[in-house]
Amino acid sequence: MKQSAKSAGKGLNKAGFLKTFKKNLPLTLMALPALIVMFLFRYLPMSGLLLAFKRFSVRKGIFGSDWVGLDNFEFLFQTSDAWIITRNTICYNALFIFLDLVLAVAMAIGLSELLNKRRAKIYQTIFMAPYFLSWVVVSFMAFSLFSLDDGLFNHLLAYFGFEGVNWYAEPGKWPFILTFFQIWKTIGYSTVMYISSLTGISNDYYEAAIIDGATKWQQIKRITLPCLKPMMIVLTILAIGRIFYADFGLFFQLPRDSGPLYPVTQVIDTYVYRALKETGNVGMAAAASLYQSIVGFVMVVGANLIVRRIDPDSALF
Amino acid sequence: MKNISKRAAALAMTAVMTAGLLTGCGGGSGSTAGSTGSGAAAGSGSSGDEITTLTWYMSINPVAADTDKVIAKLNEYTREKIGVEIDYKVIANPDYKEKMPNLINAGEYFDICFTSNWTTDYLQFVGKEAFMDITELLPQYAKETYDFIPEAVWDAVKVNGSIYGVPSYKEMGWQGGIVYNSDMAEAYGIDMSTVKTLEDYTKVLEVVAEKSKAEGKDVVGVSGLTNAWPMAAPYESLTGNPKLPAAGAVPEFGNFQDVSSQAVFNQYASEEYMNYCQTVRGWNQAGYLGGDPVNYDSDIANRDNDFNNGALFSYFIQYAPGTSEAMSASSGHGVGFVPLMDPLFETRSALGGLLAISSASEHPDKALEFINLLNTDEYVGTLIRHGIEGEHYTAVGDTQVDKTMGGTLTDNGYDYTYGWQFGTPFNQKWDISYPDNIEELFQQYNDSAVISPNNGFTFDAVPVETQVAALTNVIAEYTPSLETGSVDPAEYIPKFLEALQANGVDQLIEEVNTQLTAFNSAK
Repeated sequence: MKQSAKSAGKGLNKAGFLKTFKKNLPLTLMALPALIVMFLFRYLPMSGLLLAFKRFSVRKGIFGSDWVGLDNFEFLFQTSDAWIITRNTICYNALFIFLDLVLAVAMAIGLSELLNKRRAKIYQTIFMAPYFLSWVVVSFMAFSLFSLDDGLFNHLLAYFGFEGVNWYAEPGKWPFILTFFQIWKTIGYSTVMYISSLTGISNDYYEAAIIDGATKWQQIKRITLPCLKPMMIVLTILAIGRIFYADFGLFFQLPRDSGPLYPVTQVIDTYVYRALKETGNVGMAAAASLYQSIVGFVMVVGANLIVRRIDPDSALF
Repeated sequence: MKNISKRAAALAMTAVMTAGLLTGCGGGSGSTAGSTGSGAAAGSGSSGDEITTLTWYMSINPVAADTDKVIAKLNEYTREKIGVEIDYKVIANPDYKEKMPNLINAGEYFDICFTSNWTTDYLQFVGKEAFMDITELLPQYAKETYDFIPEAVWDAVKVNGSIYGVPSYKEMGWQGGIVYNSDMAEAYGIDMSTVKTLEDYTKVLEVVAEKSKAEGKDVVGVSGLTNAWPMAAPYESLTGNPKLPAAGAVPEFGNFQDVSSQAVFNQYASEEYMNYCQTVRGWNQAGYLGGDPVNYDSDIANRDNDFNNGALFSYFIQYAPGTSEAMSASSGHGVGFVPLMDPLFETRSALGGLLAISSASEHPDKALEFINLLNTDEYVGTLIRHGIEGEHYTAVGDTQVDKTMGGTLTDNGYDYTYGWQFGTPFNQKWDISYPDNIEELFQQYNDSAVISPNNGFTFDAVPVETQVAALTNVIAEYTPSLETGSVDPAEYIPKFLEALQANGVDQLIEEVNTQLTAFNSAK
């Protein structure tokens, strides 16, 4: 892909372009449906971004509505919670990215080292299963653990003679609970990604290393990790691009929209939802989303720039 | 050779897939064009018999199985009577709430749609110019309905002096109070007639807790507290949302004395709010509310179950005449009601349900004639609420229906509890579970209603949308735990007020005040 783009760039004259085009015609045609879908659902709706700068009127339509400048963005910054929202969104996501990276790589290596492949598959499936659960379902599972009256934890505490805890009213405990559930739910998926790139590493390296007398730890450090590096970088850069998007299900459903927990569960997505469900202002919703996209874009480009500085071959673009 | 055929196959695949995509999109737009086209054709009357087809989007729960049959019957009648056929698109409440705003925003064609302040927000879409101004057309095409609905209700739905929808006329306003298990009250020897205020109720809860514990049962005294505060100290919600801090005092209730000099005040800063929170804090600490009232309130199915089984003594509701009788029938025990206030009619009371006409409608005249039938024609009203006589119900006397058809049938294929959403219960026959004098009860209720001082004032939130957005978050953070007594009000109310202050409560109140002054001087 990269190479053909480069060669096309070199032969800038028309004949060269036509030749490459002709040569790649079947491939281009095969890509066409996906390109059309992408154009229809990714690029075409971008004109809707205009709404972020407009006061929407049904009769006047998207293009005819009146311009209002940056008014729609105000609500994101005028709240006294602006700092809390930004801090929560960025810090949780940064923590999730870091933990996800470390734990998923560790688990992938661990699973691939298992000699019994049948068992490895079973574990992998078990880890993967929570990924398919909806957050609503997970929130009820959590409620059965944390409920004040009927929760498992409070029953256990009572059994050992301690006072029950009102989990949904104690913000101090939720950074841990949220992190636990997030990792529990997504770790299987990332692990599979790393396992798939692990199977791509040639066995020759390991055989050569064993002949040279390398220990298991040395093999992991010198062969496995370097080979996983490109995958780690790609997944991390992609995750960083979404650092300003919080998982609505995690932060809204899991804490059951409990007011006392807002200081540790309020993130940009939940704030926007709560703010706009009363007024239903389409323009403000578009503004929030545009703001998130711009921050995400800057983060991706920035992260990629840093990666390129350190290791040009691993950069995305 | 082999290579070429492979390539050809790939090409063919691609072509087919692309074609599929294109037809997929083309098909969609084609059908919408077709439907608007046919509407226009019917409107011009070129087909000879001059039948107009009206597209009606309706929200009601749950969608009845025999809807198509009933609508066919309805069309038979309306074709003859006013030359109209209905293209009925009914969507269950939870879906309607999501779908209808999208359909309107996307410019989908419709003639009539259901709107309210709880789904597909009336004021919001009036602001977006989605609905037609029918002030002039009403007396012309729906005169009976226009005369039948009281003026105060019409005033309430006016936005800047114009009417954009026909409100459902039922009970006037809202009345807060407590429904309770009257069998249990009797068994415990509780005299509910002594309860006039929230404070009076403390004694009742005490007795319930004491006597039920003595019986070895753990009965929850009362639930529904997340809605109870405006009932304890009724005020006029000037923004249309009782949660937003912009209230007006209603002189008849004699509360908010300390702030009643201000036309608009922050109800959360009042003495009444502190008193309310202290009272329920006491209830919570005494264990009358179950362990976790916030979560208990969020599970209505569980609450109803507990109430029917006698595990819950009472809960707060907004009452309509006949409710306790209907509830006794469904719960299997006696149900009584203690009002905490007289009914209050304010702008938002009329916004519980309206039928609006699209600003793009080609047949507003016919649409209004049809809405007129829904509100005044007894055959249409009964048909759309209870279905077809002999198939879905049997008539009992002149004014009642029996949907069990004399047996024990529970699901007969068509019957709507919330039939008032179609228009008004007054031209729909009543279910036999309602008392015989139900229309009288409604009359009494409506006569006793206090009409709020600023009825008809609708707040345009646009200038303070930023503040409303931020305040909504603050309110969602603090009120559930304060209003269920889960936290200490002496500590949390000051924090709450501080947060409101930091997020622009003053600007909101000032804006409401400005608009209110303009409204009153224009009257």
